[in-house]
Amino acid sequence: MQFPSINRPFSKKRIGSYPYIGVLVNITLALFITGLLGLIMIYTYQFSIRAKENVEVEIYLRKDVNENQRLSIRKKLTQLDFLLKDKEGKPRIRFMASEEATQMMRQEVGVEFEEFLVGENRLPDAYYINVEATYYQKNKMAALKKQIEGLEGVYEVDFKNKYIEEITKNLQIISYIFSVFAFIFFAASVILIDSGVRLALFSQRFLIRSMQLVGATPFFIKKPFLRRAIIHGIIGSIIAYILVLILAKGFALWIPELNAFDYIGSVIGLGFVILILGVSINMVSAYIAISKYLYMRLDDLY
Amino acid sequence: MTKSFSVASMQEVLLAQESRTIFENVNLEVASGEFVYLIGKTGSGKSTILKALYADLPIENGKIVVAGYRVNQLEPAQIPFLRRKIGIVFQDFQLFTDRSVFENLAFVMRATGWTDKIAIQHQIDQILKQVGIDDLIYKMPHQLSGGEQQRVAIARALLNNPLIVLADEPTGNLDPTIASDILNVFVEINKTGTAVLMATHHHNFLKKHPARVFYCEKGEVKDIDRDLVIQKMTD
Repeated sequence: MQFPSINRPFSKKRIGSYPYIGVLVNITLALFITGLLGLIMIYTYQFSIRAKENVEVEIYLRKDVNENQRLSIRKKLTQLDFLLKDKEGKPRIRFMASEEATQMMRQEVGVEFEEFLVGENRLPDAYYINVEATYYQKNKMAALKKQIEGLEGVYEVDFKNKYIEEITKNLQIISYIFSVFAFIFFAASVILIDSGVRLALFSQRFLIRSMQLVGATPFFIKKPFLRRAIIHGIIGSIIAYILVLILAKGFALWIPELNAFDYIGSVIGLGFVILILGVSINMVSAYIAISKYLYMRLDDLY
Repeated sequence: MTKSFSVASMQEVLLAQESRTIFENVNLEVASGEFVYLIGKTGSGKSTILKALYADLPIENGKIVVAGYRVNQLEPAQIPFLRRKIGIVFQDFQLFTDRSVFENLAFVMRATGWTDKIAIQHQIDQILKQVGIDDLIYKMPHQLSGGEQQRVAIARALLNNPLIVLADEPTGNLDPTIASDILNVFVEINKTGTAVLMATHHHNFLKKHPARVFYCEKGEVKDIDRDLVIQKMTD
């Protein structure tokens, strides 16, 4: 039994052979860029959630509320659905006594604040809570405010409405900008992959031609090329995804706040998006390119 | 003796390429088991006629029938099935450079509906023996000489037991000795009953293997006497 491919010198590259490495590098790079953008979008989302979750809702208590009532309010607050919990499952709620608040204001404002405190004027006790990011919408926050103000002993609920609106607005602008970038990156990836595949198949045009002349049907001719395009799409996607994961891990180690793995669902979803994009773009490009050569006259192939 | 029938015919065919008329009125017929030369100087349109016969060039006018297929009325989806009934051999071999001789031939067989591995192996062995290169079965095309590559191409053309082999300058890239060997291969194939239509500018083939001749000249295809052809080609 002979093995001709083993006997062939490695340096001798066959004319018209399929440039596997080039195509694969092309696909991987294009998908990596797309994946990178996906990662940036996850970070943006992460940032928007963080920013919203860090905004505290201030709950001022009536001045006549005693210790027991105060604890009862706390209990009711911790039972609210929208109250944010930390990683250990503890509700994110903190209490600031009037004295503590006064002390802080003194330090911040100084003598003028001393004048303000004359007579009955004193700062109320307050609870500060963090709520789920999804509640940071105008109508939801209004409902939340109403609900808390309905609790016995609560004097007023306040939150930095303008701040939230500002964050929401800015994040919306950032999302639009990223959407435009995403579209451009996606288009660039499509063009990059498509041109790579087309160029690779250009070197195969006479092979396709020969297949036609021996009586192979278009479907039979397309099949191996499409199979190869799918395999390359899968391999390219996997490599690109691994590179994105490595980068994400690097970011997480470097800046702990930038941990995409906190949103593991999004990270896994990104992997699927890369895979679907890689396979579909590659396959469609290969299909179009082969179809073009299949219906081309011999003279036009040269 | 089996009765002969037409395996390829052209009637009043007008052939043009890129709106330039090559032939205005081609009439030719090849019978089953016949050996016919299509002779003419380079650029006289021999390849154009063959292209029209294997449905690679749409015709402007007339009627072409090959292996029972009305070529000028074929739907694109039917073309592969016409090509399975004929064998095509080119000057530049057009082998798949990325696979061995066996794979070259096996691909054609799989592409044309063969599924039984043993039958494929058996047919390939038999055909390679017929063209005298059964020892080269696992070689890659670049490891073969020009003559050997052309034998592989001929073997490929014979795999589906075609009614006719259309050979387009099959010896154009070969030296005279090898060219003569290749001619002998075609003659042997013809002896088994397969019709051969060979386009060539080697008029000396007529002396080695006399046969009927279609002569291409000045936009016409003439069925003429071989001595006259030799005289015209040596002028």
